[in-house]
Amino acid sequence: MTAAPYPPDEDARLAALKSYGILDTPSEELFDGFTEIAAEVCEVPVSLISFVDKDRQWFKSKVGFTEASSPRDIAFCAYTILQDEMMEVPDATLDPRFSDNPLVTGDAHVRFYAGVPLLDQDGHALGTLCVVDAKPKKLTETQRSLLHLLARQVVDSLEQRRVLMELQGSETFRAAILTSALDAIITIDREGRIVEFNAAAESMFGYQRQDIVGKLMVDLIVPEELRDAHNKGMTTYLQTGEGPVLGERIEVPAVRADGARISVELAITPISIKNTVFFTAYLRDISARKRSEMRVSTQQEVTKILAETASFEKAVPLVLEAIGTGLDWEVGVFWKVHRADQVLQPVATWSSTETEGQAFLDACRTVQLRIGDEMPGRVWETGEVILLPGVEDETRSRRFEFAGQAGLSMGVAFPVIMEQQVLGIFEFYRREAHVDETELTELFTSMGSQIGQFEVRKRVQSQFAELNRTLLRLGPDSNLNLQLLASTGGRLLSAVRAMYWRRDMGQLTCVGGWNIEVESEPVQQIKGSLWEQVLASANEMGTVLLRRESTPGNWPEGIETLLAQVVRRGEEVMGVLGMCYAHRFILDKEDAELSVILGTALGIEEARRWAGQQLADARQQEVGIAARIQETLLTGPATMQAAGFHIAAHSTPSQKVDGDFFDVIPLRSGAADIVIGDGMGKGVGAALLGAATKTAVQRSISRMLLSGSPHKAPEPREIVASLHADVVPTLIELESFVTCTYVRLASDGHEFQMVNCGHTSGLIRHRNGSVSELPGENMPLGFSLRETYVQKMHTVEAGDMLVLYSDGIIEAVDPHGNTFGMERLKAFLQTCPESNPQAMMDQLFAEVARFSQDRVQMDDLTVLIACSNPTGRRTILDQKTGQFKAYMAELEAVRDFCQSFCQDIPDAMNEILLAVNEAFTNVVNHGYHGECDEVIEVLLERMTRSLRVQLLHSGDGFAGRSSSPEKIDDRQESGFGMFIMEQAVDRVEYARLDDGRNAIILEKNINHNPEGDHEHNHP
Amino acid sequence: MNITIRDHQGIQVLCIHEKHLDAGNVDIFRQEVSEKLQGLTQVVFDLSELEFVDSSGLGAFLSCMRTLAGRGGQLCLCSVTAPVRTLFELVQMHRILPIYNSQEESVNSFRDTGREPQG
Repeated sequence: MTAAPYPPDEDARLAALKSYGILDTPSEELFDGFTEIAAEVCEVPVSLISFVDKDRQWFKSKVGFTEASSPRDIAFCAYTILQDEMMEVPDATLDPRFSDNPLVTGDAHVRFYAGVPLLDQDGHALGTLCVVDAKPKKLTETQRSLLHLLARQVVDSLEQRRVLMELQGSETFRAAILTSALDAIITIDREGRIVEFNAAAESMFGYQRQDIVGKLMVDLIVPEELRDAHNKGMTTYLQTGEGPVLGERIEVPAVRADGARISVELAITPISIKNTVFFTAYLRDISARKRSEMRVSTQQEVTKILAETASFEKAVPLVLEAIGTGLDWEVGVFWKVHRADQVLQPVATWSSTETEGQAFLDACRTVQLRIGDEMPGRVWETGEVILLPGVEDETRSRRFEFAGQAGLSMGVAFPVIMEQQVLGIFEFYRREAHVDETELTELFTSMGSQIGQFEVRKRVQSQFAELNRTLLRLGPDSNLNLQLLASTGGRLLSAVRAMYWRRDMGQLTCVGGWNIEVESEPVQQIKGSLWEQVLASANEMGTVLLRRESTPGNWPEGIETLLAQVVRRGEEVMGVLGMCYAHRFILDKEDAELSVILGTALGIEEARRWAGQQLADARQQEVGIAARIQETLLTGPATMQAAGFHIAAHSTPSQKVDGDFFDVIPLRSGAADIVIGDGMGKGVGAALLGAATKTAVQRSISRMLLSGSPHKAPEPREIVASLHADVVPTLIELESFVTCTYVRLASDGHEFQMVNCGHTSGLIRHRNGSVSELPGENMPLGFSLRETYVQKMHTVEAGDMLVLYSDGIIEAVDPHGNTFGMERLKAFLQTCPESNPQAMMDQLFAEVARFSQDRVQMDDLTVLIACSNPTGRRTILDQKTGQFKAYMAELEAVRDFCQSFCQDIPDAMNEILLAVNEAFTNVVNHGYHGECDEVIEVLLERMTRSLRVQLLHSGDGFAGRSSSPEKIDDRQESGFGMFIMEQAVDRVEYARLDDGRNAIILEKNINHNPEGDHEHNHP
Repeated sequence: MNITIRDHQGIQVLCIHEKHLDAGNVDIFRQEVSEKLQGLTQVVFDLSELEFVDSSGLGAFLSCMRTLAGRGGQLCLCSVTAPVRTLFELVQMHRILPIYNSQEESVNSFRDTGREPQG
């Protein structure tokens, strides 16, 4: 037998064969498929794909044959590759090429052979696809066609395989880099099957390479909702060559083997090789980056919320939403720690959609949690973030039935915390677990503390605003103020009770508080040892926190912690503010500051109260002293009968004693002296001045009595001069002065002498009701060093009242500020019908009280009334009477008549004549209404100290008009008469006599001192 | 009513030769004087003989004063006796009418304006 010759392109052919890298590779399903079909279609037992190597033929795929290879020199295929077409050998025994081939003669028993050369694109025959039988055979046309077809398929597959190898070869070149590449690299063929899958891809997606190769990528990695889009895109590209996604970096979600979602950054590059295309995708897991981005932006969002929101309550829902949406949760709840009751209360809820999870949230809103209850309770207890991978464990609470229904599984809760005090808890749930939730712990821990600070800041702001409002409400009532401060403190510091204890002479007394009964057992219990401990342990700010568990003492039922704030004024402890808690209260920095401020406010209030009391005490004292002085030193007897006068006197002290004084001094001669006066100023000083003056009077009198004639008392003006000399040095030194009136009542009740030093004008209320005013002529004592005093004599009839008073009466005010005034006093005296001085006095005071509507006056009210009660009739030394007709022409005669009677008193005569002249004129004009023949009797009476003229007539009575102008001015031409009359004499009286006649009574006092002359009476 | 009038260098001096001027004779006085004062401006009343004047006399004097003042003239009084002085002091007459001690003084006063009367 002859071995087949080599084809002419044997070297190139061998190189090409080598390039396919097919020799000695394991069998492949694809090629086995071809040989099986060939064997079946040709109805032969053996089919082979053989490749003709240098010295052998090697079988890639074999059916019905077991040898891997056989020598080339006996290979039928060696002849097949010499032609382009099928070589068919119907009976090998008849073919000289093969008749002595050992395959034919030997056990192989090959009789039939048909083989198609496998030609590459260059025309090199690489090998064959052949069928073999042990019997002679002839193929049908169909069988021949099919074999050709299959052979072409084999070649196609080889080509593809070779391209892939080239690809792999270039990739393998970088394999060392790529296997350690961080990026996942996935290559798929045009049908989307995974052809390559690197190590990074394996770990990213959780698949082993060998399991995934050949499978459709879209089913494994692309999330369900994106699969259609992916397939469409592939199709579009394959059809049109356009693919917007290709070559771009995009961020897409992807799914891992375990179903978890990740975010990847993706770039796809198509690779065209010969007439086929592959896609290589480079993927990077950006889930971590994305998560970190979301966390940062969520943190920023929360910070922004805290910066822009006014209150914690407003901030909470916004924070819930920011965390929920930013970190991809489905529902969230915020629980607030209620400090007083020590429970968690749901304050706000949130869900990512309108409907899902609502039932769960509704259930949450009805719940209150205690320490340790469920996840929030545990967070409260530990103060740390808790991650819950699955809610199945939370079976205790009803709300988790709803959680299960909503599909919620994973949860987290973190505390809003400030200096180890938990203020609230944020709780979130979602349906699916995400990758790497452990980073959340760090994020939530810092967020919790950030929100905690915000809450505390807002709380402090509102606490101080409320404290400020309380401070503005403080008023004059001290106890009420303490109550307000204690109750505000209790509320702001979330106590269950607050109480303020005042320290008074070493004893602590509870004066008020909040949520307490002052007298109750528990409050009383807190006395004693607890307060000693408080005072002993208070820090320099005065704050101390005591706990029942560590402090022995009389702890009331239910109180675990006592926050005490000592209230001080300087070094002295004024009191303690105590706040009681039913739980283990933790004092944070802000609360400690608040406590100190409350202590200070209470301290100020206590100081104010103490100062107020001191002042009140001082005032009391001073008023007491002044009243005592007035009582003992300033006033005189209330009533007495002295000389020919009934005397009534009364003094009502004012708010501040004002220095009024009076005294009645009976003299041996039967006369009585009255002194009434007023020391300038108010209070104790004025009172002392008044008292000093009074004693000086007595001293002066005594001295003069001792030194002078025993039978003749010194004249009032001498007494006053002596008094003045006595006190004036002191008065001038004190820059003070004393006003006073000194009166000597004559023993017979008919007259009195008066020295008025700057005091109010004395008034005589005549028995017929008319009132005469007696102005003072002297300066007050203390005005100058030297003074001579004017003394005036006044006569009185029985029933006339001398009214002396201090300016308190005149100055008495009503609620509108109107003063009582001189006119009102005169009017009162004119109209009051009393004839008894005490009764008149009482009426006067009643009138002043009515006028002032009982207001206590600023000045003392002092009144002294001396009513003339003569022991006998007045002594008439001489008298003369004359009858005159009512004609003006008679005036001269009348005057002459009077003049002759007044020879011994030339000083007074002119004035008497003037007065009588005017009186006569008036009687003619007003009594008889014109000149007529009627009689006017002129009765002249000489008394001891005066001259009295009476004009008696039977004409009409006419009341004395008060002369209005005190001065004449050039506008008048008439009406001077009354004025002249009243000025000229001391008394003008109108009387009706028993015999029916009317009388004008004129009386002029006759003084024996030069100062009494009217000559010097110019204003 | 005895009233004489003399001219002193343009000033008219009117002497009242009566002992009293009271409600009884004041009407006559007014009549007489008003005649005498016709057309006069600067007048002096010499009261040296008057020993009594009452309120009605006072009123008459004031009336004369007004009459003269209405013509831009001036009245003054002089030589007042003690009883009349008493009255004038009671009513402070010097504030209304100038009162001089003598005729000469009064007349001079008219000549030297600004000279204080000696009332």
